[in-house]
Amino acid sequence: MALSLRNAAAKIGLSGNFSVIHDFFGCLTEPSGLSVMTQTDRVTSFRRVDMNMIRVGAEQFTFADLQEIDAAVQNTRNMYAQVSLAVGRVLHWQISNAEANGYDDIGSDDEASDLTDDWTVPNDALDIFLVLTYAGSTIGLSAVDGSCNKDAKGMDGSVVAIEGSANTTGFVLAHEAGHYLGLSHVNDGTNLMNPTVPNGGSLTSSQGSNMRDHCFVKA
Amino acid sequence: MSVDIKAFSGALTASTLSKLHAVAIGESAELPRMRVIASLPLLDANARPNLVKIAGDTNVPIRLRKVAIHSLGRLKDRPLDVIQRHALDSDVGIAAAAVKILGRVGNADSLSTLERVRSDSILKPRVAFAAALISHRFNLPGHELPSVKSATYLDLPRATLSVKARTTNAEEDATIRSTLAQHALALPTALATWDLECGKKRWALVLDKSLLSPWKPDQFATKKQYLGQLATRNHVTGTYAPGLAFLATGMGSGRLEVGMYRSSGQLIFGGEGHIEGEVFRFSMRATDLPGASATVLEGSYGPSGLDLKISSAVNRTRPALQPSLTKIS
Repeated sequence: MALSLRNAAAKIGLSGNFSVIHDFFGCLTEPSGLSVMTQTDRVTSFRRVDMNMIRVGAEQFTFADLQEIDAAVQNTRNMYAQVSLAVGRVLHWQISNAEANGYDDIGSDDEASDLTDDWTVPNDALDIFLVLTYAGSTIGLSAVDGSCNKDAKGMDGSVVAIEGSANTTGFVLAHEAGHYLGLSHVNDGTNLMNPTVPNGGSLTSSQGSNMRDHCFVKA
Repeated sequence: MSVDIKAFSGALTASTLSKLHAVAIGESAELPRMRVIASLPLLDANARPNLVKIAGDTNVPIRLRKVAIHSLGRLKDRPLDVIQRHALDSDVGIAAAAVKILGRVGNADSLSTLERVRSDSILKPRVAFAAALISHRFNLPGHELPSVKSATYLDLPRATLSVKARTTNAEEDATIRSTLAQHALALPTALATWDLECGKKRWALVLDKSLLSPWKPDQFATKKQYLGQLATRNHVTGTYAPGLAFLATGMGSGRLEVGMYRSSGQLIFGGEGHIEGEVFRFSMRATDLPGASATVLEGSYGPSGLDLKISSAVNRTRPALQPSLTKIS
């Protein structure tokens, strides 16, 4: 069957005129190396998860940070593709410095949890909170097998620190979203769900099956 | 998830620590710089000079300087004078980070610095809470928190959950102490800790032991006090984060106001306590904040120990004041 960008775009809710870079890929910048054919194939063939990328303390993000976010999303797409899972629609949201009430500056894991408690994007996509400051050894935090009712009790999103390294942030985004989609930590140092970075970023078929069964994952 | 700095460095020899410091000050890019700056207080007792340098270097990106200020607050020999100086920084992000840390680790002298922080819509509430934390820790006049009576509370819960409260064993006690010590938090020297289990969640109630032994309940009715923290437990790692600060303000006549506050200064649980003979009783309700669920915490402490009950709605409600997110293209 011939791949159709229009059909793939329709699957993630796009119609009429849209920007391939900004709407179909969900990029904030204009990165090179994107393959429309690959993304079209993935969105058409795989089950998919949509993501809300929420910049906390938005005024503080630089162009380099936005590039890092775009690269992290692409890295996540590539890692998830090995288990036939697509990252579909990526929407961007922002919380201003003033509204963030200090949570642009995460000092501990409970503050990260509070952040996801206080804010919710009212749709059926995974909420990813992007912060520029996360003190301590933690680099990201997420609920494990997170709820699809984002009004439910407990942590209902993932928090990812922008590390100044696209490679690292890509691993962290894929890892934390993997938690939300049902994955726990593993000891295998080559697996994405090893609790430290860098790791090999691999996923097993069993992990893929778990992720594809999550209630946020759509056909 | 964390960066495996130990795997990078192997045993933390002088040579590997030197490599980490090179990353921290920007002379090497072998590891993400922010994570190294954030981890240095846990890895090297002599991290202070470079952290001071990074925090004060205007050529270093603001977010790295903010992490360095957090790290200064985590040091055992934390340089309050440096943190106080950054509270007066012209950059609001730097000042806000320093104010937050000062509230947690500052002393009576820090109050005069906080009074000089510029009045700003972002900084003002943070300064107010930081000053209130210090004034409660040292029972100093002024810098009062808004009365818990003025807060809006959720309705009484429709369902109840049971909570198991028990004193921690030695191993748990060590974990609580060691992991909380990794945060910028000026905990009392002697702690009394309880493990609280409610459904799948666990917390540690960490109180200032000197308030409990010798037990003089009348002291609560007349003083401002920082009682301790309701620390949250990470069920994956088993570590603890500071959670909520537990503050009390004596109102006289055997009565006091009690509140549990987030590090942002938001009141999460508020209510009253009173002294009945040798027993201190309190009751707190959840405030009407986004993500909260109707909850009542009731407890007592006396010669027979701690008794705690939690009644909570099974589901939380998302109040109408849910913040609006600004979508961008």
